Amino acid sequence: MKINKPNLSVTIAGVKFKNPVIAASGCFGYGQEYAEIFDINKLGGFVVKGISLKPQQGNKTPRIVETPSGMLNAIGLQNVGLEVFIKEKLPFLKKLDTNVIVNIYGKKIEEYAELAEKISGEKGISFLEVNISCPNVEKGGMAFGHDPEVVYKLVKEVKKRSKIPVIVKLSPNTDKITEIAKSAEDAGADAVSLINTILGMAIDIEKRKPVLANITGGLSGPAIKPVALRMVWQVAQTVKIPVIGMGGITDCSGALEFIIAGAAAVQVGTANFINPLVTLEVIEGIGSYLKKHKLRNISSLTIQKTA
Amino acid sequence: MKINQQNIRIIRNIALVPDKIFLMELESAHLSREAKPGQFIEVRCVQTLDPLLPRPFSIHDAEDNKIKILYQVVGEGTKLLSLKRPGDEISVLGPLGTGFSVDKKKKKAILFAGGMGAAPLYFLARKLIEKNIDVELYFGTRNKENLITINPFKKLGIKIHIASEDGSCGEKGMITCLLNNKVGAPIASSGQSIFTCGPRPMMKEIARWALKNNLTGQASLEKEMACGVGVCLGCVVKIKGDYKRVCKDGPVFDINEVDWEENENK
Repeated sequence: MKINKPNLSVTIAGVKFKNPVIAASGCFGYGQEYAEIFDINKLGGFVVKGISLKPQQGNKTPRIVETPSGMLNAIGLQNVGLEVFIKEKLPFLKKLDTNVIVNIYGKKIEEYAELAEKISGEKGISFLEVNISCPNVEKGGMAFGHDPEVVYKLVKEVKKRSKIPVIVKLSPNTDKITEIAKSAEDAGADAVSLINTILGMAIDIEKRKPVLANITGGLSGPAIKPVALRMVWQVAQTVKIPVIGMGGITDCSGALEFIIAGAAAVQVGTANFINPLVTLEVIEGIGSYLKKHKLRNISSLTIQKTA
Repeated sequence: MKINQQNIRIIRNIALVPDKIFLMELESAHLSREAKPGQFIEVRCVQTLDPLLPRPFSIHDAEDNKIKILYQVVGEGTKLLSLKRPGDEISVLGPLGTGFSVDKKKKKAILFAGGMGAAPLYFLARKLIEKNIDVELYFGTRNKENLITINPFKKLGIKIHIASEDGSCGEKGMITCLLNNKVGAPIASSGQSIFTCGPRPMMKEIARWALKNNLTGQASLEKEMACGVGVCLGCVVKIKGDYKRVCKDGPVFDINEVDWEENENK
């Protein structure tokens, strides 16, 4: 069998992605910033920075600190708010030839539902990604992400009001990851994405106090990849809806590990900060891998469920 | 694309002060052509994943298909960078950020450099002179050893005032002391452009003095940084009450709009 050009496309909830590589929320701004560096239409898609109903100032600084093979952040979901997003950011996004996914978060279930209704009513957006997992704002996510019943209620409400498919982004800061994923699925989620950052901390020994103004922050980067991979595997074994895997991917082999573990697609986050062209390199690498191993498509890579 | 990610060759990497202050010259037609004073580059100090993040460096000079950075060894990343040799390649993203804006109507510019603040100000000084703007430099240093970064300014033939904290060169004290005595008055009355880069307390003092004398000016800020392109919101500072990105909206800001009190009590 001869395969000249492997098919990299994947379909999630009826939406076609030209390849399984998506840039992750909080690591890709509103798309414009990286569009100054490369053709972002080559991506399978990207997730915009989390949007709330009202603009948010975010946390005090320092907000970031480098850790071994990783970084901690406590940005606090600084964002322009729904109104400015629609007026100033969306016109650019509408012109793109890639899947735009809008990440949303609120402090109450009703806020999530209102965001879902308003954003999904706009043209040019493929998915909502519901952030129930940010560790850096009170109730701004993670508080919702710990209780399977609350997740069920929230996703049910969002699904009721959204006109487009919904991805639920899960927190790793729980011992109930499979239960929570199952709740999201039962409530009608079209896909789940995981993992968000892992709650962590760093201390300045000279000042004898936490480095981050927020005290704790979310750990990301290659340091978290084994944890992320384990959780993606567990969730993929549990739910029938597509799983989008992320956490510490910095190259093609990392992305392939997630796909083999059961991810229908992957997101790349912190690695964009190290190499803005990383997503393109991952896409190219996956293509070469399929060709080398004479595989027809992405889904043929995935390990089948162990029953 | 104006911003490029490329592997570029190191031409020189010389220690100006052993193990401490280095001057690196890099080969890049793109950066040399596109770079403006006050802009910076993000440099990966290693190709492996620890240290993970690239490091931001002001562009110290750019011409003839070459750029220079002036840097101090402060941690693991800069230590590894200091060990690089001519011929080695490093991964560089740039040019990044919003640099200094020059008002051609003002015929004189006053530069206040503190320590490594010389890095972006030298490139600016050279460009100002090209535009026939008269440049005067106030240079604050900890001691005589660190004064070495003043050398390229001397070749520009501009008027230079020096202050050192230990009194080993120039006037003894902070550069800001000069503001309130003999030199402060003539500057204040002439309505010229002010440009500064240095430790935050120094720039804060200059800002206070500028405001008092009804002068405008620009300050180049530094902050812990990740992406360098404006997406991660890690490097923000308070500007007129709102968080602005040092990497994208700055690093150069209006000196009177920076909230200099931010994080003061920490």
